[in-house]
Amino acid sequence: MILDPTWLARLAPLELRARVRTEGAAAGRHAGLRRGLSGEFIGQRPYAVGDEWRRIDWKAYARTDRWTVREARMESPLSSTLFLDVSRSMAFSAEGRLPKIRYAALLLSLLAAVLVRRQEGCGLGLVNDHVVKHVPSRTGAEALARLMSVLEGASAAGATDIGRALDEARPALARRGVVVVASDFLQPLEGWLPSFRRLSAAGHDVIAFQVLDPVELSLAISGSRRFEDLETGGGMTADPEIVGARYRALMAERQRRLTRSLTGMGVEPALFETDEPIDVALALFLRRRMERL
Amino acid sequence: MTFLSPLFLVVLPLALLPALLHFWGRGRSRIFPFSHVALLQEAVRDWMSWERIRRWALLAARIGLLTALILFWSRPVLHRGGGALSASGQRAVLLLVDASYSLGATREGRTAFASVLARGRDILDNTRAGDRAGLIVYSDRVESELPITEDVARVRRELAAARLTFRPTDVAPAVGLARQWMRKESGAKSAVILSDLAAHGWRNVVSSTAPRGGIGWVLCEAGTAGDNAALVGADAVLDPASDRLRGRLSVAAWGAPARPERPWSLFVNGRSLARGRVPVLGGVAAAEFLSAPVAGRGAAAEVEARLDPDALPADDPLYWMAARPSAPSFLIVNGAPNLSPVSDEAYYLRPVLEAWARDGARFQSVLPSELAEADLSPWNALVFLNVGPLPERARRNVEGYVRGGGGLWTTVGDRWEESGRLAVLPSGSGGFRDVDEGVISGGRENDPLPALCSPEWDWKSARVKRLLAWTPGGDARVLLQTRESRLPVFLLGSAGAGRVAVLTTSVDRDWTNLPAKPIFPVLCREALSHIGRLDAPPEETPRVVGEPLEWKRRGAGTGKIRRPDGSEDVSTERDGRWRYEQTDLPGFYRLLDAVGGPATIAVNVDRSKGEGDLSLVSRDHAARALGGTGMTWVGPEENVGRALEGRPLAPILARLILAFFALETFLLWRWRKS
Repeated sequence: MILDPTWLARLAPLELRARVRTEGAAAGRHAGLRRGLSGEFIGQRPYAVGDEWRRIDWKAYARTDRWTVREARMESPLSSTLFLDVSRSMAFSAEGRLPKIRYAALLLSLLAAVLVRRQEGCGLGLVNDHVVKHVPSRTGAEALARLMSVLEGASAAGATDIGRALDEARPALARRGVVVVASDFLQPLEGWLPSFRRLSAAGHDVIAFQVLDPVELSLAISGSRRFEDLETGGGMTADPEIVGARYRALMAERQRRLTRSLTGMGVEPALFETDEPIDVALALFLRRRMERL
Repeated sequence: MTFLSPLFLVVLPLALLPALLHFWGRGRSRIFPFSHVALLQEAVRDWMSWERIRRWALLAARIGLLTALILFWSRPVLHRGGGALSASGQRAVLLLVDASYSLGATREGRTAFASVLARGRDILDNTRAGDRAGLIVYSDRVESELPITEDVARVRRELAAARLTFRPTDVAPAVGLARQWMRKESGAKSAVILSDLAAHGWRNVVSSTAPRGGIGWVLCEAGTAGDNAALVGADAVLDPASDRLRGRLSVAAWGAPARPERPWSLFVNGRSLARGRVPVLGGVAAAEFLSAPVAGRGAAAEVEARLDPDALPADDPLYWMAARPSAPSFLIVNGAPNLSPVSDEAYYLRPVLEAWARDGARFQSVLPSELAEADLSPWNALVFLNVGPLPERARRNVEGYVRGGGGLWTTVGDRWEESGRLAVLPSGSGGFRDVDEGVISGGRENDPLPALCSPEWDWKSARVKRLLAWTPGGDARVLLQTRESRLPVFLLGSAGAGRVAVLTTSVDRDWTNLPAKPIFPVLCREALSHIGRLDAPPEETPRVVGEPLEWKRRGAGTGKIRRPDGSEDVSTERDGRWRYEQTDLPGFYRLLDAVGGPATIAVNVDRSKGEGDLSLVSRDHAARALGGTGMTWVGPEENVGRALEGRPLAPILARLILAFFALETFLLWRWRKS
């Protein structure tokens, strides 16, 4: 997969900020859980047995005649895991636009590029109703190339069960970090929201990239059609001009419920429509997130 | 059930077209792979049941609409208990046979009237024992009638005796009589109008509410060709100054005549004198000017113009008497005859009179004393030249003549006496005045003689030395007056039906130089023509077929009439008037001497005009005009017997068409709304 250099240029000043404290032994840009000498100063405390001598604040001792220890939060690199829904429903595209799976793969590729350029780790999982492929989080150009290779080779197959797949993948997420799930999230909410709740409860910063074709939101096609489900194969004949309004109302209601549910459990939802330029959409998301965090 | 136009049933399978399109369209719905059919199913869950019903209802409405339309065109007739001749119990059928001359139109060598009679016979042949029938033969009036009777054979005989007339069509009297008769009938009753159903015959039919248990009207179209041309007018007269007939023929055409030109020929007194071709274009009236030499100088000529016959030959000839305008005649009453011609006022009128006499005008000069016994009626006008007071009898004679429509021109001279002034003159005078003034026009544009008001006439050189100071009264119009004192010089007025002109000075060179001016002959001729009513066109009363002829003629009690077809008939005289009523043919009717000598009087009788347009009356108009329980229209090729045998289903089908159309519109509207 070759990413357009202009996309990368547009995304160069941006980063994916984490809402949670990251875990890791190496030093990085993100606030970690561990305390140490370097990093962001967070306060002083009386010396206790076992503290390292070098952590004693000698200037404070000179002023107060008490041994006090400086404490600082250690910064560690971000460890991100990207999940791409590769179920058959992601193969949908209309009016010559990119299939959702390709749009989502490009989106995750760009995000991975952003992470890797900042020396942050990035892993990948392809999921449908199970984990199809898992690439552990690594840093460096080689890791990025491998991720992009996997994303490029992703093809839509199988039914969707994001919840089950995430539950299956959760044990592999040893360290806290950012989890990005790119899917259309069109399966019933009850089936996969608990998994997101569990991920979030485990301390991960979960981001839900909902990738939809505009037609899925508006049903803006003309003429009576026989609609065939990409996953189940079931079908029905309907005239979008007749049922369009009702469909749009239901879809809008579903989207509101989805956003409300995800936000309620600490998951950040982001909607991407496949007629939007990928770099612009991702840049907009990252910029807003940076402003917020 | 039978169909009057079964050919339309051939296309009945077309009614299944919506079903074919429906299933073909459903099978060919384009497949659209979709990611979220579950939500779509949820969206249409409420809608699908209604949509399924709507689609089937729409399909049914369309199939029903097409089926009803095709059946409507195929004219189904239900045989169970509907029409007059199929109903059980007492049944009555009344035939209204159109015998107007437009039924003389031929189609494939057969007149429409013959078709009408044949259809009438068919109907009567299909009656059963106990049926009642009646007959009305009509044109613009009821020509013959036979009230509804059980004696169908008699009706058949009456029908066979019906003859085509040369009268126009007006179905109103026949329809009125039919309603009146039918009101007395009980049971099933049908009135069958056998006609060409041309629109011109339906102008006067007044809509009527049908009586209880109303009449079923059946309109049988005879099937005449729509294109026709007719002679509709002629205003040719004999030129009084020559031996020629001059005038114009007017031709009207309807539809799309096959020939762009039609030959015409002109017969005068039975001899063919002229022929030509006239352009014939549908919807356009054409005029053909004609000029033909006429032998002899009779007062009138029998003229027959004839277009080359077309499908309707009855309106191609036209007959009229071309009159020779009678020469004007004037009685000159010279109040002061002199031995010396130049002293005589009549002398100054000579240029006028001589010029006019060359055109046939007649003049006679008398003395005032002769007026008491004179028969003034032959004269167009009296010309009084310096006439003094008249004896009482002469005065009454003159005044009666003027009030009865005669004309009077009077000049004033030294014999004038105010006390002897005729009462018919427009007001009176205030004595003689010596003025010596010029003359100016006092007339206006709308005066009776506008030519005299024209600025091109040079009145300035005319002078008046002496005149009678006249005070105009009544409706007098001053046409000439003196320049300074504005005294009337010449004025016009009226008395009863007559017209009067007054010259307030004498035609004498000592009084005025007016007679010596070029304008004077013009003034005299215009004024005399006006008061003698020579400028009014002769009134002509058109005589049409079927109206009686009357002559005023002294003679024995009986006389012979030679009819247009050459046959002779007898006319009787009563109280000095001859009357002949059998004017059933257009042409010339000649009253012969009792001994069978040459014709002494000829009168033209013509068809009435306005029958030429053979276009059909609209069904809506006919249905509205007739009222009743319903109207069945039977085309020229359709079987009238079948139409009468059953109840036509067309009204029911028309309602069904409307219902299906309304249902389809509603379903489509609901679809839009949903």
